[in-house]
Formats: sequence, structure tokens, C-alpha cells
Amino acid sequence: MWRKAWIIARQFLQATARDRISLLWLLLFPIIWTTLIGAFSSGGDGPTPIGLVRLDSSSYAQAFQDGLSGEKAFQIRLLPTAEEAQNQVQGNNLPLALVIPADFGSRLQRGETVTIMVWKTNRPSSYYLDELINKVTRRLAADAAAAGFAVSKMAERTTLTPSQAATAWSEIFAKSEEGWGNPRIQVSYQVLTSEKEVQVPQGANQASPGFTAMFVLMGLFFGAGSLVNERRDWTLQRLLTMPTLRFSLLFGKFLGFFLLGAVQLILLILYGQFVLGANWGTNPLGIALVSAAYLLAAVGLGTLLAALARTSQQAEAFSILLSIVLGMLGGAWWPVEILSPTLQTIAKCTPIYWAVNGYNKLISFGEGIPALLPNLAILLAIAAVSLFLGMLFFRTE
Amino acid sequence: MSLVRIEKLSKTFEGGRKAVDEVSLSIEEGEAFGLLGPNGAGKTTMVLMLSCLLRPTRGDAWVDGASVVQDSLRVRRAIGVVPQEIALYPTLSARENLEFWSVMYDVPSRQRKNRIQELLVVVGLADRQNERIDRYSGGMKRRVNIAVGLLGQPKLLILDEPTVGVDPQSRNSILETLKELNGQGLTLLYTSHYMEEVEFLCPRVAIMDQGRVIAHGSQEELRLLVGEQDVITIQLGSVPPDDILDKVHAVEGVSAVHHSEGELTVLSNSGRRVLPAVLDKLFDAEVKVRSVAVREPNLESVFLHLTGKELRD
Amino acid sequence: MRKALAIAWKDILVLSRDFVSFILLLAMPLLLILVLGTAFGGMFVSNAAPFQITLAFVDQDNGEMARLLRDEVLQGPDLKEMIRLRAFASPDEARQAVRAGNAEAALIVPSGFSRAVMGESESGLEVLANPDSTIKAGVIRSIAEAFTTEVMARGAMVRLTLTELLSRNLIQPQEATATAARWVPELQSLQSQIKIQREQAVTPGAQLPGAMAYYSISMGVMYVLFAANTAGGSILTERRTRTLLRLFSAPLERRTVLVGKLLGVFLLALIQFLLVVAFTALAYRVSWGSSIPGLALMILATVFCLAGLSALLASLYRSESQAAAIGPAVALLLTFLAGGMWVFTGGPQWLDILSHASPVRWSIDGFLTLMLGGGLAQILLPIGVLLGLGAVFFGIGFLRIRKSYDVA
Repeated sequence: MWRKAWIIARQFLQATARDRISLLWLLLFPIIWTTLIGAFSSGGDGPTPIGLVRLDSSSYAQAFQDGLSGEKAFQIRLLPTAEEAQNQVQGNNLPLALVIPADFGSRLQRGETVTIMVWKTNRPSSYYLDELINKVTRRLAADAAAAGFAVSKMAERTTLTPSQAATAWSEIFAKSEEGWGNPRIQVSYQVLTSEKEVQVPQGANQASPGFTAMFVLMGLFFGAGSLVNERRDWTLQRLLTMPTLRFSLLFGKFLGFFLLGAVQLILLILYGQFVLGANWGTNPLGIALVSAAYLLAAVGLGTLLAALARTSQQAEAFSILLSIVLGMLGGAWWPVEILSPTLQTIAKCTPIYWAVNGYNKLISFGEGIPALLPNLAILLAIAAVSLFLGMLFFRTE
Repeated sequence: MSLVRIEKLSKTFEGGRKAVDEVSLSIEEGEAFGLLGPNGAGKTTMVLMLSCLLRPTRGDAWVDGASVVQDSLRVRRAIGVVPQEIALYPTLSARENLEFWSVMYDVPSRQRKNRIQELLVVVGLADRQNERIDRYSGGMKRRVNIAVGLLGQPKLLILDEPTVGVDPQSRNSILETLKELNGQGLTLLYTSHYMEEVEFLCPRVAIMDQGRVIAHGSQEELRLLVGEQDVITIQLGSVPPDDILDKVHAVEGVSAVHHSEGELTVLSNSGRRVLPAVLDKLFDAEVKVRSVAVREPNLESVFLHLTGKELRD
Repeated sequence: MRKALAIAWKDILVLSRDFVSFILLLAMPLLLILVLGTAFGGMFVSNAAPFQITLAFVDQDNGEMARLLRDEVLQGPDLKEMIRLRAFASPDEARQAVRAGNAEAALIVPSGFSRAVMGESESGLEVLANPDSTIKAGVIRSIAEAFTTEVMARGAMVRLTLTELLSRNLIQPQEATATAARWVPELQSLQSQIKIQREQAVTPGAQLPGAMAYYSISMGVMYVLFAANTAGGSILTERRTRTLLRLFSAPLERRTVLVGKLLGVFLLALIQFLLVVAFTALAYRVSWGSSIPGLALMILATVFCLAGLSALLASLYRSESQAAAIGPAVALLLTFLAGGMWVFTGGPQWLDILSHASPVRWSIDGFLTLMLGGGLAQILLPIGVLLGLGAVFFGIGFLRIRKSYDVA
């Protein structure tokens, strides 16, 4: 019985390997897509280009510019005029452009306020970028304030010539600037459940697990499509008339799907690890456990889909879109937390959510296997229910 | 003027394979003409060319005076096709399929409803006309196929292996229907590799093998071609009188009589016709008859004789 | 022509037979629009707080800095809307709350914080994050960092000034503390010298009408590609089921058959797009603009272009399974390229140019203009491009398929 099941599984795998179309969706497209997304995702690894117009050549303007370039999220593009800056932003070539006016340094020194003009587009600009600009500005303003304050206090007690005041101002400004190097007051940040300070899953670490999960689901839905084809082409019925236990047949099919999904998953993980730079390697056993549970759930859903699908063409288009929706809900495209609370609850019903969440726990939060228990439990539950329903509905007529 | 005239029709595919090699035939109006041959003989290619789906490499065929090469639109107006595959829309009902095809076959809109209803009755599907075709049995699907072929009131109905995969009951009913239609004047071109069907339906037959027509004519003519005669073998239960051989030989249609070891062998051109008279003679002579066997030559034997192969290879 | 129409009508009939699948398939883009629209809803409206954050706050300091942080910053006019503050007595309780999910982040001010700020010692704020809400916790972290920057600045100011004064012998060491204390009120009223003035560089068309509306366009258009592709695949289905041959053996020109099939693709795509527009307008209250002729033309041009593309693709496919596999990939890529999924926030210029290589982009631009109040005159360019592309697509597709219909 097991041998027959294995033969059925192997036949399925061989047929799939030979079918170039399947390979397109199993491997090629996911790779292209994940790479594209990784390259384009904002808030990811790439810095955002912002425009900067420096109409002031003073060292203070330079300090401002240095402050901005010091932030890894920015890539400064120097522009000659304010008009040019405005045009670039209007033309959507840049999301942001700052103009440092000509009297920036001198006004600062004189203790006057100075206005930095920031051009923004109306497109979803990152709260994050705004915060960074504020941060740089704040420091600079603080340096200026320190310098101004000190000079004013000195001036209260003694006479300073303008040039002496100016020199003192510059010196204190510089000292204040230096002070940011070793902040006495720090902010510590800890994601609860692990000891280490961790990042929001970003860039490839977000895209690779997320889209891998989604495309594996899609792949298994395609496997479902092949089942529907077999039902239509009567090869399935023919198999059923053979002296093979029905169980053996079904098990063989499942095994085939499972192995197919496993191969796809492994290849996509390897691609993510070695080409995209995601870090999958922290806990191989944990990854394997989550993957196995997820595959079971995906196979289950695929079977259910096969049972309910009529014509293969519709099943394929539907399964692609369904995978995308499930992926969007489940955290493959962006972190689940940006969804509304209602949608977040719905997200928790999708297997993708639990898989990506499990991967994140292992990769980005450095958690251990015990933390995966809820994920594994739910994935296995989804697998069991959908397999049961799938077999119930699978009419072979 | 024959309804269908085929002159040296040939089709050579790329790579040099001659699917049809200089076939010449004619079919008269009102005939039921059979095209018999094993798989790969070229029957389907013939049908495709006559249906204007394949362009002949050489030669031509005329249906109702129109050439398939030059005047294919007129040809297609004159023919109805019942292909081997169920070329219908599975998710539509029989009625919906017929409605669609009736537009394609230029059935005037006023007549459409009646024509469709008529045809559904003719093929016996009137009571299930609104069900999706993919729920039909194989035989029912074939019947819809035929109905579609008849929609345009064609002069010639071309059927290509129309009973493949059909249960015996449906098959018989289809054949009966076709015979009736033929009786009403519809010209049929019927291709098959099932000899019994062709024998039943088609008085005139052409036998094809490897792209060529190796014999054609009425069924009788074909049998005669072979020179094989019916052999009647009668096991006698008692010793016949001496003159029995002469008496049996005297029966019209008997060409030879032979007796040995209690077995009487009669050769005749038409065993079925001759047998009663022979038996009469035996009964008259009070000869007991233990068993009778008649071996008729059939088209299968004709084919076998001509090619050395089985029809059903 | 009558026969071509009959063929197209038959295709629509066949599609409507598989009603359940049809509805399920239609539900997908509608779901996508819902998810995308609500997920990104906040971010499309500028200056809106992205979301609400429930913050567990622990004040072990009881000093001036903690008060400042809580009252002036976290619950100050800027952040009050965004931050829901819940006070906890101890770090452990706060930790508990975050773990349990009752708070998305925790901010702990340790004892001695205020003193450290004013003085020389080290201290720090502690931010704890719920792993499911790392983005929101990140926002709290930024706020905490901004705050510490502020207060450090104040502290640094005092220190630097004192150091200068001392080094120039303008005050005596024993006066230092008292002097510093006198400065406090002045320090507190210090305003930042650097002001940021934010302005939006707005061009008509560069605006976005709202996430729901935007994604209604992009997902609707993507769906048309899916739908048209399926319809295009039916050309191959007819080949497989041999109904195509039967059509060829019937008394009509092959060209009529082809026109009928392509017309069917167009009509099917049109019906499905209209359904999306209707549904989003009614259920999601998306306004597709006030210009009916503009909207009608935009819809027709979009469907024409995408149906043409599907016809072209259909001419390249060899089998239905190719159709089902390649079409969606093309649809996804073209939509992504056009900025239909992630809106490209002012990337490099080549990206903008590249995105215009996707017909989806022209559709999006046209519909956006209509949504923002534009009329027929403003959308002539996208309509022209779409019609032009469509004509090219249909032309090539038609010629290729017709050639393949010339059976030997």
C-alpha cells in the first residue's frame, strides 16, 4: 500500500517537473516577484532619495547636510535651486526636498529663527522619514540653542566683541555637535519574548518568508488544478478502478503535493538566503517544523479547492487571486499590524499568517521552538479540517 | 449528375505522408454511402477535406456542383457534419447548442424554434433538451451531434465514426434514426471501422486502406469481388438417398454440392436465400438434419481477402 | 456580423453558466480592494495619524522629566489622538500588559531619570514592544528618542554654558548649581530656532483620492486582465473541444469566427469591469468622478486595450494551461509595474517612465484624473494611448490567430 502510494507520488512529481508551466509558477515567477518586491519596497534596505538645496555655504548648513547624510535612510541629491526642488517633487521624481535658505547660518548665529522649506508629495509619505528630518533638525537646533544660550550668558557677564561672540558661538556649536556622539541618555528597545534587540522584519527578511509562504500556497493550489484536470481527463477514475485502495491513492496524491511544496519551499528559501540576503538560518529545526505544518495546511486547502473546483481554468485564476488575498491578509506583503483590527482578526484565520508569524519569530525575533507551539497547533488544525472537508467533497464523477 | 463527385482527391502531409492517395468516387443523391476502413486508412482525412477543413493537395471534390477547393462556402451550405468528437459546448443545454448552431447554419429566425423542436424529437431528446450536455450519456451526446448536423437541412450528411464509445442500445437507435432519415431522402456519407454498421446502413460501400480506395460498389458486388461464396454446412442425421445431390444442386442459386461423411456442403452465392429450399429438399427426402451452419462472406472477409489484414487492427 | 455577435453572445452564455466560479472570481478583486483600501486608508490622507497606539506607561521617576514626557509630549496636542495612554505602577505590570496584548508597547521612565538628565549621570528610557506590533512600537521608540534628544539638549546647553563661563572665569564653581537653577524657566521657554515648513508640491493628477478609490482602479483593472485572459483562453478551448473545427465547417468565413471570438473577449471583459465599478461605487462608496462620458470612454478604452492584450497573448499560447499560467503572471507584473500595488513614492525618473510602459498605468492615470474632478478634455491622452495600444494588440493578435486558423 505504501509502495503504491509512493509510486503515485513520484509520478506526480515527475509530471510536474516536466511541465514547464508549473515550473513557471512554482519557481520562476516567485523568484522574479520576490526580487522585484525586495528591490522596490519602501522602508526596506534601500535609502530614499531626497532632494537638498543648499543656498548657504556656511559650515552650519554643512552640518545640517551632514546630519541628513548621516541617516542611512536618506540618499541626498543635491539640487541647484528651490524651483528645481519643487519641480522634482511635483514631477514625482523625489518624495521630498529640503531647501536650506541662504541666510541659514547667519540667522542661526544671530539667534533668529530660520525656516527650512520642505516640499512633499501627496503620496503616502513615510511617517518615518518625517521623523528622521525632525531628528536631524532638532539636534542642529539644539546645537544652535546651546551656542546662543552660552554666548548670551557670557555676554551678561562680560563684554564680547562681535567677532569674539561669533568665535565663541562656533566653538560651542561644535562642542554641542560632538556631544551627540556619546549620549548619556539612551533609549533601550526590546521586543518582548527575546533578549536581543531586534528589528522590525524588513526588506528581504520580510519579503522572503512572506512571499515564499504565499507562493507555496499558490503552488499547491495549482496542484489542486492538476487534480481537477485528472478528474476531467478520467485518469483519476482509471486509477481508482485499479486494485489500489482508495486510501492509498489519496495518500499518494497528498504525498506528491507535500513533497512538491517542500521542494519549492526549500528552493525559495535557499534563493532568499543566498541571493536576497534574508537570514533564514537561525533555527533550522524551527523553520522545518513551521514549514512542515504549513505544507500540511496548504495541501489540505489545495485538496479542498480541488474538491470544489469545476473547470481547471477557473481554478487556476481563482487560486492565484485567492493566494494573493490570503497573502495580503496574512502578512506576506506587509506586516499584519497595519490592517484594521477586524481584518487582523480575519488574518488569524489564514494559514499564511501563522506560517509567516512563525518564521518571523524565528528569524527576526530570535525565539525558540516552544514559542512556535500555537502556530504549529493552528496550522495542523487547519490541515486536518480542510483535508477532512476536501475528502468529503471530492466527488470523482 | 451525382450529388458528390470526388476526383483523384489526394492529401499529402508535411513529411511526405500520403493520407489520401488519388481517391475517386461518386455518391448519388438519396444514397447512403459507407466508407469503411481501419484506423489510419484515411477516412477521417477524406471527411475533413469534404468538410472544407483541409485543403486537398491534389484533385478536387464537388458537392452539389460546388468545389471544395474553390467554392467552399457553397459546399458548407450543402453539407451537415457529424464529427467523431462531440464538438459541442458542454455547459450549454442541447437546446442552447442547437440555437447557437442554427444561427451559424443560417436557419431563418422564424423557423428556428420549430426546426429545433423537430430535430430534438427526431433524435429522441425532446424531453431532456434543457439539461446541460455534460450531464448526458455518451449516446445522448452523439444524438445531439447528429441533430446539429441536420440543422441546416443539408443535402449531404457526413458522419465520421458517429458511434464510437456508445452503448449498443443507443447505437442501434442512432442507426435506426439514420436509416429512417435516409429513407426520407437524406444522402449519407458514413465512415466507420465497424463493419456491421456499414452493412446495416449502406447499400454502397467503399473500402479504404492506407489512403486508397481498394474496392467500391454495392455490398453484393464487393462480396462477389472476392469470389468467396457462402458455405452451408449441414450435418445429416441419416443417410441421404443417392439423388439428393442432384436435387439440391437443382435449387436455384446453388453452384455446388458436396457430400462426405454425413456432412453436406452447399456452395451458393447467397446462402440465406438458398438455405430454405435446400432444407425443403432434404425434408422431402426425409433426411434428418442435425445442425446447419452458414458461413457468409462479409465485408470483413472482403477486407481480409484484399489486404491480408483485419479491419479491426 | 450577426454570426460574430452570436458567437460572442454564446461565449457570454457559457461564462454565465459557471455562475459560482464567476462570482467567486469576481469576489477576489473586490476583496483585494477592501483589504488594500482599509489597510492603506490612513496613509493616503496626509497628516493623518497612521493608527492608534495603546501605550503602557510607567513612571518610576516622579520627576519633572517624566511629567513633561507624559503630559506635554505623549498626551500633548500632537500625539493625543494617536496615543492611548494607560498608566501602570510597575515595569512588570507593564511588561505583562504588553505580552498579553493589552498594550502594543510600553514606555518606562526609571527612577532617577530627571536627576540624571539635569546632572552628569547616565540613564535611559525603556521601550518594550509587542512582537506583533513592532511598527507601532517603533513609533514610540522614535518619540522616546526625540524626547531624550530634547532633554539632553537642554542638559547639554546648561553644561556647555557653565563650562564656558567657568573657563572664562565669569562665574565661580560654587555658584554653578544656583545659576543653573535660575536658568530653568528660561530654558523651558526656549523655542527651536529652526522651523520646518512643510508644503505639498501638488500637481493635478499627482494627488490621490483615497486608498479605496485608488485600489478600486488598480485592482479593477488587474481583474479585467485576469478576466480577459480567461476569455482569450476560450479560443484555445474551442480548439481542444473541436467546436472550432465545427465552426469552420459551417457556412461562415473563418474571419467571422475570429471576429466573434475577439468580440466575446471584449464584451466579457467589459461586463466584468462594469461590475467592479458598480460594486465599488455602491458598496464601497467610491466616486468614479462626475463626468459620465469621460468615465464611459475611459472604461471602453481600458477594456479595449486589455482585451486586445489578451487576444495577443492568446495568439501566443499553445494550450489552455499556458493561458491559465502566463496570463495571470503578466497581469500581476503589469499591475505592479504601474504602481498599482505599492504606490511608488517618487522613485527615480526611470521608474516613472518604465511604469508608463504598462497600459495599466495609463488607465490608473485616466481614472484618477476623473476621480479628482477632471473631465473629458483632461483624459484625452490616456484614452488615446489605450485605444492606440489596443488597436495594435488586437491587430497583431488577429493576424496571428488568423494565420493559425489557416489549417493546411
